[in-house]
Amino acid sequence: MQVKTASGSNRNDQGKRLPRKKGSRKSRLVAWVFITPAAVVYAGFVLVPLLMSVYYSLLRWDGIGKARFNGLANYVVVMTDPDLLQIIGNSFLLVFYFTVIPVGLGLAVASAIRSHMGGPFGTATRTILFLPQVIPLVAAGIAWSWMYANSGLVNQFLRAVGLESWARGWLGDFTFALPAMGMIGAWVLLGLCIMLLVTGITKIDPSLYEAARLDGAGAWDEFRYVTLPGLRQEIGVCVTVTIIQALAAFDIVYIATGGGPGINTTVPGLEIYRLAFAHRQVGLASALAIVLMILVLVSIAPVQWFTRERKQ
Amino acid sequence: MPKNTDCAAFFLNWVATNEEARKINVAVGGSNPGGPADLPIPPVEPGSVTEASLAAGQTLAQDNGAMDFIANATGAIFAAGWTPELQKMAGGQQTPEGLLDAVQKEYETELSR
Repeated sequence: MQVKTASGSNRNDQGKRLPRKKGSRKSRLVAWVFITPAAVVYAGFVLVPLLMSVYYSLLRWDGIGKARFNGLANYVVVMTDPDLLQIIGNSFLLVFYFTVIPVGLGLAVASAIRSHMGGPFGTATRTILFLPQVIPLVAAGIAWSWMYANSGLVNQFLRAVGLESWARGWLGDFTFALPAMGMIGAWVLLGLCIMLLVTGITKIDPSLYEAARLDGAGAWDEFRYVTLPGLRQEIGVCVTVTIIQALAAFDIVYIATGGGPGINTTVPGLEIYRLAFAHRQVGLASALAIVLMILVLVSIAPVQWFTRERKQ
Repeated sequence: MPKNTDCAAFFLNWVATNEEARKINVAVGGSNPGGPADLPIPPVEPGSVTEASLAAGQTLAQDNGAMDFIANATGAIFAAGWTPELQKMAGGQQTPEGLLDAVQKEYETELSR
């Protein structure tokens, strides 16, 4: 039961101090003082440029001269130009390599090393698989473009195991340039997914696994009925982060293939850069950027909804 | 008027026509020594890529088919027209006529934007 003491502060029966009533002016002021610096930086570097992009997307402007109001014409071009539609399609193809492969492999590895987490094997696995995350994407792109070269490591390996007919210039091949580049992204993102999933899996109560085993569950059943539900949040984070990386990819594409051959590996990130700075079509570039942002939000909204905290 | 313009003109002419100079051009630069099409190309290692590109260069000169270095094009048409279409042609997905049509169409699209 709450009582007001002589000094006016709220205390319960045992004399413990209760929190101040929400809404007292001083606590609100303190909250604002703490929030303001971060909010100003966020507004200045994220919200204001976003609003400016929306404004630019309605213009026809070369970045230097006079700007002309263009209405929604830029958006019409983005939605109807076949090249731009193919470019947007390429980024969705990348989602398979950047998301499905790292999350799938990550789940497999996390399940496999679950019981060896503390030992040297578990630590070594986690370290080695996380290292690609530490490397700048540009360096990874350069290293991989050497490995994919005609005389590079990948082809040397294929020739060594007798798969001579599979050896080719991977990043210059019309069919395999996009998958090859997707594998670079998968390699980089695998470490992040493993880190998150391994952390999550250690939080799952081991007694659940014991109970499952006592009920006669095999490894696959354990995975399906204990691991997966327990990792719901972590999977949601992994999928969200990797989808964003796939749809907004730029560094790897710019370094590895420059968008070629043809436009088979051009992605919206790269095309926005080219439209704005090579073509000097700031309006069209901004429209493509806004469309990309909407596509990203539309893609991760279901993921977030599906893996949201369920009320217990 | 700069000094020694006659010397400069003589040198540029010499680089493209003198036999020794053409040998240095090919050996050090690996490229076509230029100059009149009827002058002999200095010998290179048989079967090398240099030999093949020099022979192709001779054909070009005789057919009067040479054009400016495509990287000298404006950044936009280079990135959106020349580069992807040349890659498609090298990969067998585009004909030379189709390449020129595609570049022309890209040029017209860019002018209209």
